[in-house]
Amino acid sequence: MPNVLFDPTIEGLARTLTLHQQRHEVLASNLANVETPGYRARELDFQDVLKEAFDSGGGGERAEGGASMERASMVVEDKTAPRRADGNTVDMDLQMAKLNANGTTYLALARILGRRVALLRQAIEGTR
Amino acid sequence: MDFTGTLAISGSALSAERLRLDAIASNLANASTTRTPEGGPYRRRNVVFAADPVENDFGETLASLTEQGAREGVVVTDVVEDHTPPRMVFDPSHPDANADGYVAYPNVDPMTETIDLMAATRAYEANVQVVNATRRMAEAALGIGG
Amino acid sequence: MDVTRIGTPAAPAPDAPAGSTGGAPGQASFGKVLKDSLAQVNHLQHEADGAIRELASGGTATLHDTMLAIEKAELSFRLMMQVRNKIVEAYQEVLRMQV
Repeated sequence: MPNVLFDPTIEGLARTLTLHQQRHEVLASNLANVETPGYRARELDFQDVLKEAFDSGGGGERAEGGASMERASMVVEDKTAPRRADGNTVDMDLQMAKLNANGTTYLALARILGRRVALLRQAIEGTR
Repeated sequence: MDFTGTLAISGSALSAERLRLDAIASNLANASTTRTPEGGPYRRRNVVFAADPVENDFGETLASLTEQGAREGVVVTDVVEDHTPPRMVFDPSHPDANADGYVAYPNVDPMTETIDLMAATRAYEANVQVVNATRRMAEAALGIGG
Repeated sequence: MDVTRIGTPAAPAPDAPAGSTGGAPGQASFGKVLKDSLAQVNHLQHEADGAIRELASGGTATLHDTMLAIEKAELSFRLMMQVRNKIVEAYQEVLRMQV
C-alpha cells in the first residue's frame, strides 16, 4: 500500500517552518545583544536552502544532529550593518522589523500546514 | 529544537537590562551623595555586558559547533565603578568640604543617566516583544494538529 | 495533493466478494491491505513516540515536526480503522449473499 500520508507539500512546509524558526532565534540573539559592546549583528543566510525545501529529501535536513549543523553553516555576520562607537552593529528597529516579518511568515506557514493536515484528515474520514 | 532556547535568550536580555536599570537607579538616587562608608563621594556604577552562548538542556554549549552558529543571549559580567574624577564644587560651609573649601560630588551626570535609562528601557521592551512573538509562534505550531 | 491515493486502500473491498467466497485470493488481498496498514500505523507510532521523547527531553525536535509526527500517527490509525471497517462491511455483504 502506498504511503498515503506522505505529502511532499506537507514535508516542504515543515522544512520551511524549521528554517524560519532558526532565523527567529538568530534575530532574537541580535535583539538580546543590542547593547553588548563589540557584538556583530547576525543573519541567517537561508535563501538557497529555502529554495530546496520542497525538493524530496532536500534542503535543511530535519534530522536530529542535522538541524543544528545546517543552521551553523547558515549563520553569517550581517556586514552591511553600520558600526557604533563600541563596535556593536545591531540596529534595533531593523532587527524588530525583520523579526516581525519572519514571524508573520512563520504563522502563515503554520496555518497553511494545519489546513493541509485537516484536509488529509477529511479525505480519510470525511470529517474535519 | 523547541522554543525554550529562544525564550532563554530573551530572558537573559531582560535580566541583564534589569541589572542595568538597577545601576542607573542607584546612580540617580546617589547623584548628590558626598559621603560613603568607603570614604569619598558616591562613584557612578556601570554594568558590563557580554554575549553568552545559551546551553541546551543537555548542558552542552552549542558554541562548539562553530563560532557564529551558537545562539547567544547576554549576561552582565561585571558591575564596575566609573573612575572619572568627582565633580568639585566650591562650598566651604559644607560639612564634607576639604581643606580648600571644595566638596567632591559624585561623577553622576543626570543627563547621561537619563539617556542610558531610555536605551535600557527600549532594549527591555524590544525583548519583551520578542518573547511575545516567540509565544505566538509556539502556539501556532501546537495548533497544527487541529 | 493526490487525493486518489487515499481511495486506493478501500478499492479492493468491493471487487473481492465477486472473485471469492472465502477462498484464498480474496482473503490474501484483504489481509495484505490490513497488514500493510497495521505496519504503517506501527511505524508512524514509533516515529511519533520518538519525536515526543525528543521534544520532552529538550532535544533537537522542532515543535511543528513533533506535532506533525503525532498527527500522522493518528491519521494512519484512523485510516487503518477505515480499511478495517470496509473489510468488515464487505465480509458481511458476502455473508448476506443468497447462494
